[in-house]
Amino acid sequence: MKTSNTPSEAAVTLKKDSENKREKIAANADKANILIEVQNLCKSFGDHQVLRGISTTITKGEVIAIIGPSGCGKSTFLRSLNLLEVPTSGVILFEGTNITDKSVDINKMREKMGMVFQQFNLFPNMSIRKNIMLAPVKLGKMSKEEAAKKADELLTRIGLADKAESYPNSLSGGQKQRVAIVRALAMNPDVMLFDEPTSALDPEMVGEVLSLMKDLAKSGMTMVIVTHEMGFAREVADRVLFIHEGVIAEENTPEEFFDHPQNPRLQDFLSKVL
Amino acid sequence: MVKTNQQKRSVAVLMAIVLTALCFTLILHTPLVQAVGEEETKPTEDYTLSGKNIGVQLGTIAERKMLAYEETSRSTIERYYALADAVKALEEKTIDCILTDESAAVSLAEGSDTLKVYEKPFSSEECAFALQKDNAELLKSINNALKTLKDNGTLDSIYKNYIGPDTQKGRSPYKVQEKERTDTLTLAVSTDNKPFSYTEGNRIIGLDVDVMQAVCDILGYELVLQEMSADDIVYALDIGMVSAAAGLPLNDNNKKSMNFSSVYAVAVQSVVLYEEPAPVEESSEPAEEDNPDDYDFTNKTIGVQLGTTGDIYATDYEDDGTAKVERYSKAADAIQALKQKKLDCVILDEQPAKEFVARNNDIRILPKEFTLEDYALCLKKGNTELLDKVNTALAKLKEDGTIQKIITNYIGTDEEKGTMPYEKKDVKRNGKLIVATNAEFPPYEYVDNGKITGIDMDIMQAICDELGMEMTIENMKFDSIISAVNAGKADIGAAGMTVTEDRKKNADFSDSYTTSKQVIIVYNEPKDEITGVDDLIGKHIGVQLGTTGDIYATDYEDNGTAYVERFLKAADAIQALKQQKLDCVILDEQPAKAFAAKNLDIKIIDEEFVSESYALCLKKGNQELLDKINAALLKLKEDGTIHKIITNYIGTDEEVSQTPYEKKDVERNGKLVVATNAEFPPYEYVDNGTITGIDMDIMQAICDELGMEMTIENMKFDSIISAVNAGKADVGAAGMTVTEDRKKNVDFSESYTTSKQVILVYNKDAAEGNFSFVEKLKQNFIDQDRWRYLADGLGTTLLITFLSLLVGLVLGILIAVVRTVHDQNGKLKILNAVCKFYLTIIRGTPAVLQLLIIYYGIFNAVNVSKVLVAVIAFGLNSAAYVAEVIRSGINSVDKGQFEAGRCLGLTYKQTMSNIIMPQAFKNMLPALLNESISLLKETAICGYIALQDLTMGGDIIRSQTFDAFLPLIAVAIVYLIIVAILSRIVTILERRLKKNENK
Repeated sequence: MKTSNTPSEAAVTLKKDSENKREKIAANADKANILIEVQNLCKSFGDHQVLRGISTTITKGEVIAIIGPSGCGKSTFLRSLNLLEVPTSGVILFEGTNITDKSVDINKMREKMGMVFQQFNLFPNMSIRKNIMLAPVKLGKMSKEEAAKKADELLTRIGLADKAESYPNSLSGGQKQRVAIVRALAMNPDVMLFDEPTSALDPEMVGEVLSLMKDLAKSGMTMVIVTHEMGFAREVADRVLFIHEGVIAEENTPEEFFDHPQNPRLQDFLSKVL
Repeated sequence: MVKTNQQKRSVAVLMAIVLTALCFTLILHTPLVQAVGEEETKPTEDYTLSGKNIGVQLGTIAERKMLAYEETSRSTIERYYALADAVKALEEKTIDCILTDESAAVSLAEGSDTLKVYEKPFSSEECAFALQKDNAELLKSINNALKTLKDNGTLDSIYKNYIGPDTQKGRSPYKVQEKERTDTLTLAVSTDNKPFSYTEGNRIIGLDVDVMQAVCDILGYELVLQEMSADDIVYALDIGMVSAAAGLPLNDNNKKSMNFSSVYAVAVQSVVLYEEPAPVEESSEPAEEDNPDDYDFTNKTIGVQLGTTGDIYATDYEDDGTAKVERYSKAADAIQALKQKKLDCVILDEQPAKEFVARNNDIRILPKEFTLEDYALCLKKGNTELLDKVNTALAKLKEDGTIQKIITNYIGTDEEKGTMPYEKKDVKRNGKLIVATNAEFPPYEYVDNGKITGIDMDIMQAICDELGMEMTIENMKFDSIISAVNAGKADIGAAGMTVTEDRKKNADFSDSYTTSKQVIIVYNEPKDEITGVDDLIGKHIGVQLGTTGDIYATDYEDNGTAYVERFLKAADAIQALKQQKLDCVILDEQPAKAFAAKNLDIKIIDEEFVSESYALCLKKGNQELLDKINAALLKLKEDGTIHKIITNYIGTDEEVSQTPYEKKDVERNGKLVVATNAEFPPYEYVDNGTITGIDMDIMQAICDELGMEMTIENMKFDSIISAVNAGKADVGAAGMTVTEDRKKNVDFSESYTTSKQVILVYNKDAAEGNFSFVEKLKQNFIDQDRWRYLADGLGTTLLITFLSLLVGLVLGILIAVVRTVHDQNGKLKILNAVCKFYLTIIRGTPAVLQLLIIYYGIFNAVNVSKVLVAVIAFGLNSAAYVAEVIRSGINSVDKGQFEAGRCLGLTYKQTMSNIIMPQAFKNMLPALLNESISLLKETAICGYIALQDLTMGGDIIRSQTFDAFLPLIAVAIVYLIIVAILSRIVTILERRLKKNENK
């Protein structure tokens, strides 16, 4: 937390005001065990406004599913959480730190936020084990040996210990995505962000990935999942968000969300997908 | 007469046979022996006299010799009193040949083109005295006397007095010496043996007589001549009636029966023939064309300028139907038509004709002029007042030399031309004089810079100045001038107008102011072969850029008479000459000699192109400095300094730049201001901002000698002499040729060099060495270890390529990162702009220029290794291309890879270096390889900064062996092999990388 010693200017006063505010919020977050708090998040690509003011809070251990029609901004919202997309305005507090502040080292924040992509994005020029080891070793989290041990543990956990020396191109889609998940886990993140993790998979491979995610949820990992798997959302999520035209149109527990949708758009959407 | 005498003698001989047995043998022998002697000396296989009409001079050896021929009726003899008459008969072909003494024959042939001495002498007779067999004492003393006479020239002068050309005969008669005589010597002679012994008046004279008289004069004998027939002599000698005999043939038979003194004369008879003038000369210059009277205009097409005197004369031919006349409004058009062979000849005024011929090598003027004509001014008929005035003025101008000056200014020698323009005088002028002319007739009147000028105009101006009138020129067609004058539209016509009878009827003419010749110009097949400077017209001349040869050849190019091709290296020019892409090469004498020595198929023609002595000029009368400088020059010449300086600039390619003059460290008092014109390499020119060259180095050496500080003043060439005279400069050093004109204004030092430019031509005759392929290989690569040039060059090429590639990669990656960062998040705006600017410059200019600019522009003052310069230049160049290759390589990596890396918490750098770059590198490997291959090939331009890379190595071999093909092919093969190896390596690398990912 920064304090300014520079004297009486209007800007300084304003800054102090905002800092006070931030302190209060942080205190509240601690109280409510809040991991991420998003305040009035907006994002535009040129003239096209994708996010039109999203505010929500994510507490530790919570599993949140985000659904909505394509192009509604759900992926952009998810990618904004670790600043893959830099918000046009709004505040994102992660563990009490405003990560949209330019002075914040976003790399440090990202170490605690794992992310899984629709296209897996394994590094094709490295073996599976290397894929997993890379970040922990390069960022000084672990020694090479520790990282290798951790990688093998993780691979054993997902039943791919024999693939440690293989290269990504020799794996199936489901295997690749599971490796991608454990690669993120190797950094021991506080939250996992999933961007449509099963959309690029052949149907018979969706199960193995969802089952790993279910296990992860059970272990108490905080997860934010953009998905089209309504059944999975209903079963695993603590809360479901429906994003429509850049705003959260409805959020609720899965039961209420799917059984008694309030918003007509959600009703319309669910009637199409279910 | 002679004939009958001889017959009588033969009869007498026959009678003697009957009379005595002793005589029988001898008498029978003598004529036989004589006949045999004649047979022996006759050149039987060569010129045969049989059946010919032979001319001889009466009473000569030849006449006697011919008797035998006449008697056998094989030949006819014509006898002449004087040789000159015989010659006349020969030239008229009345006789076939003349037989006469050799010396006379030679002098005849020398005095005439048509007479020729037959190679082989007809006969050769030795003259010696015959003595009694046992009289050895007399023989010895006669021989001694003869030797003395021979040594003191008496024999020679006696010989010439009797034998030889008519002109010398009788000029040196032998005079009997006053001497006391103790004894007598009787000499037997025949009197019918002219010129050896014969009677003149009642005295016996002749060569033999005079020689014996001279012998007797020495020995102190009284000479008594005993006249007898040739047949009696042998007998008389044998019985001791006479002590010696003359005129007996020196044959073996005679030698047995008598002693012979040493030979005192050899009488050689030669045949003189008449020969037709050489037919070769006739065909080369047909007489009919060379003689204007004989130039056959029949059925010819004659080109003339409309309304000129040439037109008038040609019209005569047209009128009587013998020739066709084409009239052109401009002489130049007629010449053009002649050159295109549309005309057979052009009749034109001599002066313009000369100018045309000077500019066109394919036309020539016939040697004899067509007509001679007077030019005069024409006036309106009856305008006597003006006519008188004009004539008076003309007379005055002729007298004071003005007209001569004006004419010389236009049609003098090249040196005189333009040196004495007529200056309009500042006089009071009343009234106008309108001059009609036709300004298309140089040099009499023509338009120059929009102004009508020429001889006639200057003369008219001079006349107007004399008359105090204002001159107004009216330019019109030539055939309108007389009518314009008559109509009063002009006062006077001045248009190189010839006075003709016809014209006189229509206009009055002034006195003639000049005489002009009409000449005939005909087409002349251009001479192919260059044998002298004159043949350069229309030729392709090769020179080395910036040499004096270049400067001189440029003169030809500027006036459009030749094509000049400039080569960076003299060797390249020679190569082009050898391949006959050029007609000749103009080069400094020394390097030219070196080239000609190495190449049989080129030769230096005898006539040198230019030879000039260069000297320094000083203010007239500055004797002290002049002496000092001359002394210094002498010393520098002697110790070789000047030679070194000159060789440093204009030696062979190997010598150049090897011996630069180093300024000496001496104490200096006073300044020497040197005026020069730094536009005349290699004598003086600006290099890297300083004035340098042969002259400058020599001046520096002189200043070092004199202990003076040199200051150079660069000025126009034509200002140097005046600057020296005005004291603004002490010495002028500007490759200045010593001419008489210049000597009037300045003093010259001793000449310090002679500039000789020679012309090299292809030598068609020289047998071209047809070396076998193996021999050529040996010559190009094995001899003198020439392969080393390629090996060393290859090393340099590889080194430069490798280092440049490193520089290029490092710099290229940096640029690519800057550009990518800017593309991805808009940062590094300024750096990106710089990079973009850099890429634009490098990719937008040729690599050669970049190399040259870096070497000469950026590192000009620093003495750095050329390899370093090349590495920097090629590295900078390569970086621009590598950067773009890398950037596209980076862009080819999926964006998700970058995001995945960043999401794991890796920094931008870590993501780039660990995830993106390894993948990008694989993608861009083929492109990088191509870049390195083209870089390797691009280093071939290293030769521009004289760095010996592979290509330059080939060039060096080429310049030594003058074989273009093999060294170039060898170099190409080496490049090809390296490129092939590089490609192979990368293919393997690529395959291995791909294999990895699929494990």
